[in-house]
Amino acid sequence: MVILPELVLLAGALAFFVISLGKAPEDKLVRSTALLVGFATFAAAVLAFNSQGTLFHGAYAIDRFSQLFKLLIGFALALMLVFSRNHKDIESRVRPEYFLFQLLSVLGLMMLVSAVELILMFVALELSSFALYLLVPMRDDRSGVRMQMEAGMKYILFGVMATGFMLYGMSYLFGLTGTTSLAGITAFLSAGTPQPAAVVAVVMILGGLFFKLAAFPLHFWVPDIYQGASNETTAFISTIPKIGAVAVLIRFLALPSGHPQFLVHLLAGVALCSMFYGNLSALVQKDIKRMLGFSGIAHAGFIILALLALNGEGYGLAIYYIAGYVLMNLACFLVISTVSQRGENLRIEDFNGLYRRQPLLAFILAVGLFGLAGIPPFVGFMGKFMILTSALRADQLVVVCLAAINTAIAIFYYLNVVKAAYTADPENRPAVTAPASIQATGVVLVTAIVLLGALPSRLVEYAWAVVQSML
Amino acid sequence: MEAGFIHPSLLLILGALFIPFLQGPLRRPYLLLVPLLALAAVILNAAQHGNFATFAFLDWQLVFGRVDKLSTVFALIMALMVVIGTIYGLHVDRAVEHMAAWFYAAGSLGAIYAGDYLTLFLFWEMMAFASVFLIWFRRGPQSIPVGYRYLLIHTIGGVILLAGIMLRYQAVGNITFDLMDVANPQPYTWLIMIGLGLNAALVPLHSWLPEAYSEASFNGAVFLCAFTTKTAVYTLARACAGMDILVVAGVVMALYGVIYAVMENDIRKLLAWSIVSQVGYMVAGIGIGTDMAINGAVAHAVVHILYKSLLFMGTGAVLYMTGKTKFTELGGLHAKMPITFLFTAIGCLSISAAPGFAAYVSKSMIIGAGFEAHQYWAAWLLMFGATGTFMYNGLKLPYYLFFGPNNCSQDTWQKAADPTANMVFAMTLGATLCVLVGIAPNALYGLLPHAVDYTPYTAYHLVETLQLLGFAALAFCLLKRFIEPVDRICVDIDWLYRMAGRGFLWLVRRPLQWCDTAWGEAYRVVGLHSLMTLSRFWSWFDWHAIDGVVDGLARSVRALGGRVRLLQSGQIQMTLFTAFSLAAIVLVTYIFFQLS
Amino acid sequence: MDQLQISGGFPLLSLLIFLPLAGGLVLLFVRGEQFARLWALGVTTLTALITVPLLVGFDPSTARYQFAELYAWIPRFNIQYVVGVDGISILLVALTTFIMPFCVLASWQYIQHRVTPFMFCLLIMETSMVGVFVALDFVLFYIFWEFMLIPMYLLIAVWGGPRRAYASIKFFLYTLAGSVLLLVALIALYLKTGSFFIPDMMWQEYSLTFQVLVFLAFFLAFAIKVPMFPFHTWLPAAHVEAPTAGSVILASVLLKMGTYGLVRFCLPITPDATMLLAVPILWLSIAGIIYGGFTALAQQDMKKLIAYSSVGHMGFVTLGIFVLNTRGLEGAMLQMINHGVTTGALFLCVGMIYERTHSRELALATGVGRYMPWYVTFLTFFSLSSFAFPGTNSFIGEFLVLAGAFEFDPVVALAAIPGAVLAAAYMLRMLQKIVWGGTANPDQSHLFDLSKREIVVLAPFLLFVFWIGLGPQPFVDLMHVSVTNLLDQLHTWQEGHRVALALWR
Repeated sequence: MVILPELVLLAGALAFFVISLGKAPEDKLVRSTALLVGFATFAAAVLAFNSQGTLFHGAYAIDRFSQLFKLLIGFALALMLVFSRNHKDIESRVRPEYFLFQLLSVLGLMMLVSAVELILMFVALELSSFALYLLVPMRDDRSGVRMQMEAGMKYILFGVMATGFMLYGMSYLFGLTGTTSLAGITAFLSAGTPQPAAVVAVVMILGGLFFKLAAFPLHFWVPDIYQGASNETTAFISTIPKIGAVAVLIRFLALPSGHPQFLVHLLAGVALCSMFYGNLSALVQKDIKRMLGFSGIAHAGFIILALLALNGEGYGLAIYYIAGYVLMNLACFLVISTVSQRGENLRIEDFNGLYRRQPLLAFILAVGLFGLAGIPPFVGFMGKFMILTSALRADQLVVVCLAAINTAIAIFYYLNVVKAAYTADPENRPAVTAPASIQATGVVLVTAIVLLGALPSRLVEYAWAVVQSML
Repeated sequence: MEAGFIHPSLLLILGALFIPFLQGPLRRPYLLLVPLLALAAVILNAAQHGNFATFAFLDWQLVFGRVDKLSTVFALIMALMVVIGTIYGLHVDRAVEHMAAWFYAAGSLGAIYAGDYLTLFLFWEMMAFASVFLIWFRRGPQSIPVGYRYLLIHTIGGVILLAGIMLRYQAVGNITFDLMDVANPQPYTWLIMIGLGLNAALVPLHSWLPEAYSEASFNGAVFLCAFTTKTAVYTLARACAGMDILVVAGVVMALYGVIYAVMENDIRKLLAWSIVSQVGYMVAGIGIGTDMAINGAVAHAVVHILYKSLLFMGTGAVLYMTGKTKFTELGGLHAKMPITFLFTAIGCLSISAAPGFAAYVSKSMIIGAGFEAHQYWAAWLLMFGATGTFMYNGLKLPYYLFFGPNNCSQDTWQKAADPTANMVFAMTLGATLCVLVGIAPNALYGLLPHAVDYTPYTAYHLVETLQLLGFAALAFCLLKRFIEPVDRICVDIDWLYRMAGRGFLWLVRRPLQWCDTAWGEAYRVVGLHSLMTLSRFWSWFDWHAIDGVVDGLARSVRALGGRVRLLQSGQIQMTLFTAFSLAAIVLVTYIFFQLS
Repeated sequence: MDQLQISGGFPLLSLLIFLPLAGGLVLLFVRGEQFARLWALGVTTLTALITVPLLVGFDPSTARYQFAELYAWIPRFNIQYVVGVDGISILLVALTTFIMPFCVLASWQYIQHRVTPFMFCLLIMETSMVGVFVALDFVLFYIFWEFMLIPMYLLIAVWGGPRRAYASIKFFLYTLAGSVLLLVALIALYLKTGSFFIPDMMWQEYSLTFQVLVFLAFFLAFAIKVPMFPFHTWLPAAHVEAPTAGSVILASVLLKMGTYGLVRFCLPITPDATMLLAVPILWLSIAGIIYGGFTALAQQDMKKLIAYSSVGHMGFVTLGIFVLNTRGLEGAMLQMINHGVTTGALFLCVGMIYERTHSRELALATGVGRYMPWYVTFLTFFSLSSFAFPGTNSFIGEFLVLAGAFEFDPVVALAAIPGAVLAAAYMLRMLQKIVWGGTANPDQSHLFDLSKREIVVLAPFLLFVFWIGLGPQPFVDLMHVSVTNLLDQLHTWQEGHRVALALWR
């Protein structure tokens, strides 16, 4: 029962597979099944939270680290399925498949966070990625420009190249150490003299993961895919896979590759580039999803800033931050997918006067955006604050100052949306109807964002302890 | 507050606050009562001597009641003035006017009793701000701007005074308000002197006075003529006695006032100018600074308040009845307003120091003191001024107002009549005091700060005065045609007078007139106008320069974003190329990192 | 922690902070506009009443932080929830809580639609403002400091005037951009001292460069908030667009946070840098005083006029702070309160005209004196107070500040005096125009005089104008010990370093 969440997901995937065999699956069944699976996964993750153990000859570790991540993934998945269960622009005949692949991709991620062996890790990664690639083009082609196909193609090509990088890096490690289990690699590297090639390997693997995390310079896919994919798909892409990516990043950075100095410089450079690139280009975006995509790049920069401390505290903070980021992003996408009438992409002015059309949604959106902008007392601020602290403790004064300035740049485009929602006049834009379930979800998200921001110490402490236990 | 000392200002202020709530029949008795109470308070205070009502404020000692002979005499006359003035305006039923007047008087009394500079300054500003209402309440077309200028000048004066007080505090370390070391003056001495002198209308800081007083409401002028300048005289006597510059200033004022009064056509402006000249005597006396001179200055201040208010009441009556104030619109009124004429005549005789009338007993003291202090030129000039005074005020005013050519328009003539009972009564009061003081000066002398051994009624002094008056009368008869309000120079007179007259008129017309208007215009045009232009420029600068920088910064960041976005071309091959070449660069740098 | 007097009894300060927040949350669940008004009024009034025991129980004879509460919050970073008041903050707390009920009252008619959210914003605004003044943990302070931007932004952006979008975003961006480096500075301080507890950061041996850098970060953040010339341009924009209550809060409390920050952080945490940079800041203040005067004189929009006058008055405050002597600092503290009272009242007055004429143009409000005697009476007194007319509160403040400036350097004080004249000029100009106007006044006969509610709103301000003006002693006593203690430490510090320098030579 230690892998209960994975099993639940697998079962769910199979269920959808069965449903998809039927001629015309009615939406209701699909939706309720999706919802059910979502919450079941979350419940399973909770149940399996404290379980320990290793499977498959030590390739698959069930430890506090993995379980924490599984909990996060399960929680995010459940919430996301609540508001994205009636996919407005996924044709109903492909919806079972859609959920099938979505669940498989989540399954891949869950395996990823548990994987402590290179091959398994790679398989899990590919499982999640390929399922994801398929979700993008499933958007029905209402606009007729077939941009989701283009997006899907880009995603695949990019993803494949990134995976190539990663695989190459893994092969280096294997060649160096002769083993594929992280434990063995760690033992070997820490025993022998520092290996320059090890750093090359780690850097390449990081490259592969930066792609998932959408960090500079492997972020170029982000805006187009975000724009091309349906709102719900984007919500998925922009949140859950990043959790997995962070987990794996931590596992790899924990490898004693020698030359930490170089890694630190590299990460600092990447972080800064991501932030500036993301924030500056977000300033001028018209499409909300593109904007959030760029902001996501900037936030990836912050996560990397947390990692560059290369110690337990930093890793813990990275976990805290990604958790907060997922919550805030989900809040924003909840509003987006509710406001968009027929699943079309939204421009920022489409939010005009949201405050009068649906006050609660406007409030949720404002909280999410202010959170992303890093205004207290929301989780975004706490995360930024602690990350800056740990980075400054690693005396990266310049980096910290630049990061701080970035928060000041970022506020503008978040504020633009809030401005549209609160001050602009809704020129005959239709009122927005938000079902109770969605409102409830939104409130849950808001409370989570506020609480996590106001009382962070529990999670931070726990994450830190977890990471320590793993190092 | 110790027993025995009652601050009259307190009474007045409280009293003023209650006026609006007393309507109808109750009000008039009330209006009479409060000033009388104030007067009574002052008389009671006169009994004792010393500092009262002292408060510790932050780390200073505030003295609200400093009672000695100097302050007492002024307080007495001021309180008396409140009574007379209030009676004179008794029939005015706009409560605010009485309130303003009483606040004004309260300010003056407070300043007189003030024992330290902070209290002084407080009441000083109170005077300024209360008095301006007396001007505004005339509600004439000019009242608002004139009052506004008046206020602005006094605010500036106040600030100068404040600056002086602070500098002095820095230097001396206390804020006690007493005689400054005038022998070797410091910057702060000058600042304080100027701040006080501005209220005494020291030339060239006098421009506000004629303008403002001629604009005041008919009873407001009665208050104005009494308080501001004389309070300033008191403060000068207190702080700057014996400051030589004041002699010069005083003499200049005396003559300057005469010259303008002679030329003036508006009766109240004429009186306003004559205030300048009379205050000149007091300032000169203070400047001389000997006991006798101070006595003279104080005595003159007292009597001047009496007769000047009397004159303003008379002319005020004319204004009140006819609405006119110009010689060229009046004349020959003795038939219509006999009582007013009588009292005005008394006032005129008093101001021109005719024997048996008020100024006779005081003005000569100053001049005499001048001679005793061997300041001959000053004394002579003042004496000449005295003649001029008689000429314009003792003769010109009554002549052209009550006799002379009758320029009254029909309805003016109709309206002209003796004023209401209370006004007559007030005038009677003033007139009686003028005569009493003139006949029996010793009561007044008894009040003066220093012991007096001076008897005005010596044969020599009588003759001398009569000579002066006679000469002035002669000059008036001869020069009448030149100083007629509609003045023209006739050629067919004796060359001496012609030369004199021409030179005189030229002097007045060209340079002095020009200087004065220039000075009058200076703060009006140059001051306000340039100030506004400057400020407009700065606000323009604020929006366009500073704010431009701020918003410009934001915009440029945004533009930068626009540039960065261009990196994000939609072409997959392009982006792939960029991404992986960058990744490759990272690796290569690492290799070098290793090699080096 | 010996600087704290832990209050054994009732957690008064926490109540002050969280009561409005709780009230606001209640508002979220109850419908009904009239209820919202009454509820907000009730909550703010209650908060104000709770302040009374604070003032009564405050012990002015010690410089320690009283009514302190201390709970661990984020142990990993040694962040605590610690609050307390001393002589420097108590008056500001009182000012905040006392002003809020009148802000509610002032919005009674002014805010007609979306009342509930408005009141919600006001209440959480109060929470954050009180929090800023009582927080003794730097992170706590920063959280309140930043959080305040959101409700203020909404107040301007939702209920503001025509150009509200521009003004609100400008306000938000400007102030936030100012305070990001503050964040870095406080982290740096934490890494030096190992604690976010503010008193622990004071009087520590930092290198001069470090101090100067930290000081500059502080100064940027606080100077923008104050606002000091030339960082002031957000103020007129925000003031003009904000609703009356917003302007009042902005003028009365928000600006004080800047000066409070300068006193609380710059002086004790970076003493050397302060002494090093005091003189240029003094001249900046004087530039602000005169510049504010000139620009105010040119304004046609009443709110803008008052906004610029605030620049001038706050210039006096900063002047008083950086002359670094008791008189100046006490004057500055007092002037903070005075400005809060006077300018707040003036904005209320403008708001009342605006409710009637729906314009803030001076030209359109000329000559209302005839029809609104009560109104002009109040306006007159507040204007007099605004240009420090003797007997009013500002006179005491400015006088003390100038006296302190003279102590420091007569030239500085003399340079500041034109500011006073200008103040008189622009205030009288406004007063004269409003009360009498010129010959061509617009017809104001439709105007009605103040209602009872409005009189009730204005009267207390008048009371304080004269109370502080005539009997400032109690107010000074409250702050005196803390101020002198601060300055003594500053001067002993200075001495110590002279000695050290001498030995080192």
